[in-house]
Amino acid sequence: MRAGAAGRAAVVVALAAVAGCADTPQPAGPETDVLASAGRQDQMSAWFAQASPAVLALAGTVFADHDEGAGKLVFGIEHAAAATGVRTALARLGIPSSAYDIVVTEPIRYAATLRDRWRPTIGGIQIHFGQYLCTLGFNADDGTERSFITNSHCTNTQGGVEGTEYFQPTSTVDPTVIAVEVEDPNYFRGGACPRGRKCRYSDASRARYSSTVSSTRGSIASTSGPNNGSLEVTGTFTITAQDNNTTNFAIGTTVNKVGRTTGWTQGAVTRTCVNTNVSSSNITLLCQTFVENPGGAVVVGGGDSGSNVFRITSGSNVELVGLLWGGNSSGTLFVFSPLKQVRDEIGAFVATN
Amino acid sequence: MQRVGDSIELRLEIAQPARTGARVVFRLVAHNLSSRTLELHLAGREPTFDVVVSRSDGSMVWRRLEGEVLPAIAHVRLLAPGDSVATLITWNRRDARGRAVGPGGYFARGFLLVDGPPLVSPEVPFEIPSS
Repeated sequence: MRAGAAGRAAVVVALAAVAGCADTPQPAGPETDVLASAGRQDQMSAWFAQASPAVLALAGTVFADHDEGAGKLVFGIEHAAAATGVRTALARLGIPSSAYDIVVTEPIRYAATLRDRWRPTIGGIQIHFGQYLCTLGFNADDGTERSFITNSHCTNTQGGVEGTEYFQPTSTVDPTVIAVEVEDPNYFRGGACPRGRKCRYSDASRARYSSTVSSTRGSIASTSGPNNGSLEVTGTFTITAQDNNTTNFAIGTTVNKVGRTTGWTQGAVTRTCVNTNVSSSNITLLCQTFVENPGGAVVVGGGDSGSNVFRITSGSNVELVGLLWGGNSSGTLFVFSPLKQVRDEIGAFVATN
Repeated sequence: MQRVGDSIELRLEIAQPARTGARVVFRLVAHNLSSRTLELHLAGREPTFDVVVSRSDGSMVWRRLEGEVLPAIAHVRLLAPGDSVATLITWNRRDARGRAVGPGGYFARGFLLVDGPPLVSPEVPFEIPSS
């Protein structure tokens, strides 16, 4: 709102000056215009007080303004289709069309990051359990169970279900338990697993949402660009496809991930089907995929565990291909489990929109 | 709580090997210098430290985490004023290819991995004795 109070103050001063000159023939011109203007402003203010709540309650509206300088009410809408509803509401209030303008404008959004609170939840945002931070990889429906997928090591105990409770972004910001761990297959010994170690083919677990928490399947947060360090969410990727079949990705395939620590990062597949020992553990993950950025950019950091891995197919449409779980100490290489192996271990699910 | 910035110091201490065949023990200490509790987001389920040993010409001899794949989880650790996170790392005096490293002067630097650029210690010189 622009200087309404200042405008009224000027009008009051003008009226006082006229009253003090009551015996003086009232001059024509400026004083009359002031009186008329004052009346118009008051009418506009009264109309604005009624119109603002009525208009902003309508879908597709962005802002309501009393532009004192132009002597008009101005209403911002997201798209032209919202104009009809606005005009109808204003007509009901008896506000003439000459008193207002309707403009199409960009919606105003909070500058939220991957580490902020998101409802409904989407892929790529921060989750918290115990004393740890991970990333919500992607939302998925397992039969009738609305869920999200993250890493097995992003549970209280890696391997086996112990009902880990998740918060988003942290329990301090929102103490609501958004989901509970319901699937995290045990690790096996023998067979393809090196002696003395325990193995799986994916570092994946599934958590079932609480009924009161909303989630959007098929959406991954996107930031302004890959490998630029930004965590501010500027839009969303749409999962239009999921690769349920590939284990060996072609060397050089460009893949992306979105995670709470390094944001949107991108690299090329450098190794496929790698049996990988997890540092400081007796765990080996079998047949994993390695990704590095050719320019040596940092593509992973602590907290990115559980990130979605995807290929961009066109525009903001993506194909989900895997689940990130680790990286090298300098963050220039990340490792992911192919989606096929995730589904083989925790069961079929639908992650597309 | 205060976010980590210049409030935390990473120190590397080296127990100088007594003889040529002895292992080298590094002690890394991350110390809260401030008067406030710091919230650290440490990479890994446990604090993850790295050590790099270099020659005087700067060429790397050994890196503790070379070739390691770490789980990309972050651990939230509160560090009270004056409190520390510490670890001991033992080096068997072998380089990345498993070859014994000869006597002479070397330099070591320590790192504490966090959910951003790592905390880095000052470089510390040490000697591997010839006999």
